Amino acid sequence: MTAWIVLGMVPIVLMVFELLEVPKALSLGTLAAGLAILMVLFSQPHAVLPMYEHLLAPHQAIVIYQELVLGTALGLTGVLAPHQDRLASTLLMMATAGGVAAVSTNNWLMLFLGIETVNVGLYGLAGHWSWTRIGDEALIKYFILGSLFTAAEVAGIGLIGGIHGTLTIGPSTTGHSVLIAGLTLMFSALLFKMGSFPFHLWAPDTYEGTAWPATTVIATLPKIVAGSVLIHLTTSGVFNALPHLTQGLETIAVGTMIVGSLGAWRQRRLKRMLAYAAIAQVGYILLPLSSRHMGAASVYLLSYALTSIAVFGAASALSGSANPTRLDLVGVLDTGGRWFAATLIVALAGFAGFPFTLGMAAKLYSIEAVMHDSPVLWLTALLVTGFTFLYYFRWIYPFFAQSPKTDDSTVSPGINTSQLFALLIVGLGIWSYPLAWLTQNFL
Amino acid sequence: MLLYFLIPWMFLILLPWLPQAKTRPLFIAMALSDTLQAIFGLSLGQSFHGSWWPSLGLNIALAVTPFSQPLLWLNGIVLLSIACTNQSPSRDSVFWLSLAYSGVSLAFLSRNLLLYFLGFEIAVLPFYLLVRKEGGTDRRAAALYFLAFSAIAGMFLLAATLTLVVHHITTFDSHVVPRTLQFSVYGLLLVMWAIKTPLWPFHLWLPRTHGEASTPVSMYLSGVALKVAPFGFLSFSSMLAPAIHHASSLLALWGALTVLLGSLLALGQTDLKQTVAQSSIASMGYVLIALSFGTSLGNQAAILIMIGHGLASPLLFLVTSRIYDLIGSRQIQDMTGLYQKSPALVSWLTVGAFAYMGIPGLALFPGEFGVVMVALQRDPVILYLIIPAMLFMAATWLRVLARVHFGHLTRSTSNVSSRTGSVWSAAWLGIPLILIGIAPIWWTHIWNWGGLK
Repeated sequence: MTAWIVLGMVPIVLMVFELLEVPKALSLGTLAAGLAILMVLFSQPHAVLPMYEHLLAPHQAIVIYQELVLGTALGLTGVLAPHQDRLASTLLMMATAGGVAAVSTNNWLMLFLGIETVNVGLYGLAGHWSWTRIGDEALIKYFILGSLFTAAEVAGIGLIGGIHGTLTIGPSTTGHSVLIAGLTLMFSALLFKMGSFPFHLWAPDTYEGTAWPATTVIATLPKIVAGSVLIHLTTSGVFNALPHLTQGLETIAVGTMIVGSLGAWRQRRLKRMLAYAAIAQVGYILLPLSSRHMGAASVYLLSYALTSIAVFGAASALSGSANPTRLDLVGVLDTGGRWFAATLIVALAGFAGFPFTLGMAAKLYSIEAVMHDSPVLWLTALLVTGFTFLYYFRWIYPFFAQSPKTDDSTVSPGINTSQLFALLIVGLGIWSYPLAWLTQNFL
Repeated sequence: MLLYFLIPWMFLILLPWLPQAKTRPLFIAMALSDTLQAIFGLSLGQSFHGSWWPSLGLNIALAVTPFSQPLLWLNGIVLLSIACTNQSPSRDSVFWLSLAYSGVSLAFLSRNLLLYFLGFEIAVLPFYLLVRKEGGTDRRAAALYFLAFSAIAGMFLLAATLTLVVHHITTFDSHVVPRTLQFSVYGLLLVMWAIKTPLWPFHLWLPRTHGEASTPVSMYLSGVALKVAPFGFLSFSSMLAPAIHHASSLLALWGALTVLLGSLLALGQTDLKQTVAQSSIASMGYVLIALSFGTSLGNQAAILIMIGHGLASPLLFLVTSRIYDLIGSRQIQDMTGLYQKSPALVSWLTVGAFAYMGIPGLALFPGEFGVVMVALQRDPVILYLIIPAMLFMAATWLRVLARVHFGHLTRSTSNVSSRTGSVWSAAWLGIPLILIGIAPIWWTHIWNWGGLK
């Protein structure tokens, strides 16, 4: 119970800090310390009051997702520290609290509340960091489409609850057409949050429009939450009533990969390339779900979280408020931003699945999970993986291109926590024990 | 054995922190110590096993086999010659080249299927950056061609590997592969071999890449990196024996066709570097003919061709680049009478050309002789393709040799007199080429092949 009370208290404390106008560092420190304490508290076995027990999912894997959401938030806190004032800290903590609630719950209404709290925090952050009219436009697009799918969620929950007679999440028992409609709505809302084909269209525009810190949050937190919920719901058989679920998931996964990688190929701006690349990455989370392989999907989700924080953290530090082209990245390795450049190289290699990175192991997990399926599926997935090398290496190359020395770079020298994530990507790619332990004991 | 990997890895970690001036001496030191480690530190039968990702079927299983040993030596010697040749290497290029080197070493030593794939990928991907960074004006398209072909080949290899892994076959030492599985795995691997070896018509990336790549990259790519895929054929051959047996005549025919077309393509070139690149296609065709039958003589011939080609083609690429430094052109017609200007350079060119022509006493001869022997035993029909190919190949190189030896140099040579030191660095490749050619039997004895069968 302590963990949950602390989870509720931290946003309130941060809000009070806002009213008192405490120094920025204090609220940031409180946020980071609060998240760290929460990670410890949630990792301990804890009981809740009997009246709340039916709200929590009985799985032991839940703790992994709670830690993943909290860890992502902690990573974001570290990466975004220079941009975070008191309001941003509060909003990030609120979004995190919503995320933790969403991934732990066993109740449709709680799930809705959790996801919406994440959304409210995100809209707030995107608006808070929007300095241009393009940023506002991106936010409006994100908000309107997000609200549309929120409506879909409400409708879906209503239909599911109406058929089941309860709002407790559980395996479907009937094949009633209304239930199918409700589950479909819920399923598409989750796919939308993950930015998966065919609901991916918001992602590139939103990414490109919003400022780097907001993009970093949008690219990680909601996708981690929605991914965890989707993995949890799919593997516990909630969506089983949907006809052709396996084929549907296969099509969506492969479609997401293809659309994402074709889109990322030949993009001129870094942020738009990353947006499409992130779409392609989501495909690898969905792929093992088609054979209900929880471990592979979760490992990929973890790898995605670590890598995208590193990518966006480094890219945001490198580009300031700009959205660089490949030409802008030439020669960065010789400037003060060399550590960010190195991080970006490692993280892009991790996204590509270069040997000795976490991305490689995660991709192997993901594709091995469907190797018993039809060859068309895994061969397509593999060939798309081969294709993704083209654009990742296309973007790694400029760092090594020969360039006339330019000293007008705006990159502030130094390091931030994104380097830590780059080290984790390589470290976990070589030292396999943590992931092996995780998959054996929890997933 | 771990030291063998540790030396390049430590070098890779240290390199970004070193001043540019120290790059070359340390690169040479690394190449030299690792070559010595390969020759004296790695002995036959040495092995290392460790658990890495057991749930993925990816474990560390390394072993020195009779066939990997000569290739490891070749790997070291080619890297060493590159390190000595390159006067002012840029740090990035040395980094990527060393990374590729460690990948190739991993692929040659690995007994685990997925570890072989990892080595394969590490040996492929840095070349995109290498080709993209330094080379001719059209290197952008060349790098893209290389990456596109290689990435697809790599994914077919991964598909084959994963098919075996999910059936709990994770090492090359396993003997039983279910028959139904064999043919699909063989089919997937065949695509990879066709692209990476390469076989006609999947060879398109090779002349393009070599045409644009800088000299060290061309040397390493054709000298060693090209051998990773055919070496995989040898490793897989014990598991896939029935499938290989079934497809042998087809593959031999395909290989012979590649030899013939490669020789014809080489004959049609006017650019010396392209000639070398197209001749490589012919040589690799011989390798696949030798491998296709799965006999021990065939396998030995394949390794001998790989070694011979691995020494001859970097030698010729090196000579080509020196000629370019001297006369500012790679066109064969501009090289008339080059012998008067630089006899040493032309002598090395002659050695390399003789090797490609299959002259006895040079390293490609025993291998090509072995191929003819195998073909005579198993499938004499393909000799109708190989014999003309040999004639075309001889014609190609005789034409080049006639140009450089006779006539008067018409083109104005650059003022940079040929640096004798860099000409003699060709000896790193030329002397082993001659030594292996003179007495292949000694070497096969050292490598414990139990004599030529």
